Amino acid sequence: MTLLEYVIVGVMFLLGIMAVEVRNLFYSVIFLSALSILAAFVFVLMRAPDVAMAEAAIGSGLLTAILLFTLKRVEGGKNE
Amino acid sequence: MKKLLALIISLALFIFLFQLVMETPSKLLSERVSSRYVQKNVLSSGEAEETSANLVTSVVLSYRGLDTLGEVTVLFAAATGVAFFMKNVKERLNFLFSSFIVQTGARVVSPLLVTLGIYIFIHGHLTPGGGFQGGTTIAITTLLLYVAGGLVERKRTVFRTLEGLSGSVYVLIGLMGLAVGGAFLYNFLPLGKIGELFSSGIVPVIYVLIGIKVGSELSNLVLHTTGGDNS
Amino acid sequence: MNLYTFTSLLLIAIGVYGLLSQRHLFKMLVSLSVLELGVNILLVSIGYSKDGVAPILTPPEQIINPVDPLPQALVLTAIVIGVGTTALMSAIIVKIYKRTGTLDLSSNRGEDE
Repeated sequence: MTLLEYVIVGVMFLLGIMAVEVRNLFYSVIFLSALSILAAFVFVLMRAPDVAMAEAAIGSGLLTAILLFTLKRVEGGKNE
Repeated sequence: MKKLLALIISLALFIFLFQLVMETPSKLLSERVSSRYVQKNVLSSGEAEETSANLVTSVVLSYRGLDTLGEVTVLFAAATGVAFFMKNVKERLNFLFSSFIVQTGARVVSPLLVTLGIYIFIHGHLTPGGGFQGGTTIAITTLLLYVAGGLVERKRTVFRTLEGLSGSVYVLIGLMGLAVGGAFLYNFLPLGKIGELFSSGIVPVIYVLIGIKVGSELSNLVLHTTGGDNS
Repeated sequence: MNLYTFTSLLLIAIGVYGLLSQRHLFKMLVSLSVLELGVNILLVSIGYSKDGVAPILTPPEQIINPVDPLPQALVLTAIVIGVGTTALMSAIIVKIYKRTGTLDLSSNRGEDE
């Protein structure tokens, strides 16, 4: 159990850094989505099932879709 | 150079927050504010003042019901802002990958998803879940139908009507509580026993209303984000 | 101080770093989302106790030692507001792109490194 927690925390840290630092904006959105799913798992571990349901539905479903629509509308954003 | 400066600032912030959290004594639940919320529910089981089995629902809708009304208002303001900014964006996003299989699959799956959402927000006072989660599930159904090729394009007025209606009924129930019991959002329906479907008074009614409101609100927001004519 | 609080502080630091170092508006939006996630985890982790149970009653017996339900209720509404504000921010970003043709802050301002 504790090993699982440490692995999840490490992966969350890496995903956060990659979501902020990666050049490709599409990858950035996908890393953010994966971070949200892991955060939902952390909420389950913290005995907050209500928050976990909301985070899993919103963070990795709706928010990703809205960000991808925005990304498509600004034509990839032309990051430098 | 700029990245180094940002790194130094964020590291300093991290150390500051770390020390702040370390110095804060961790209180037991019995010393916290919410212990009263938990105790009043359980210990006086004969005359409990609030009888929803899910304590989070009890905090969101019964003890902090007015805050939830304000929160729904903030969500409405955000959706209005999105509609305002996307009004002049004419071109639509089109999805070329919506094949026959995707369309048929979306038609098959979407009634099941809407049923799941309605189940989640009807049982919000008994099990994990509630109006916010169920409403989000319904909004995801709208998103699926949109990706499958614009099956929901003529439903925008329906969403708008549902959203306004449920918000008005929420305020109306609060005013009825003011008239009956002397306080806004007073729980004037019979409370029942903990764990039954028809229990805890106005809480399930308000959660169903919030589910409808959040579902139509977020559906409208997704459809506005995709652009096109915002008639 | 448990592991989850530490995680949330890490995410907050990453979000602030992204907000300060990135010059692209979309990356700033992503950084703000990471920051918001960190704040949500911090709030829930304040109410967490190690041997607590989920705050849901099962009718015959009384609940013993639940985790704090108040921060969970706050975070539940904060997540739903967060998607609304993020959608508003992305709408403003689309508007800025239509007006100026770029999302890079440094080229807008015309300053050099």
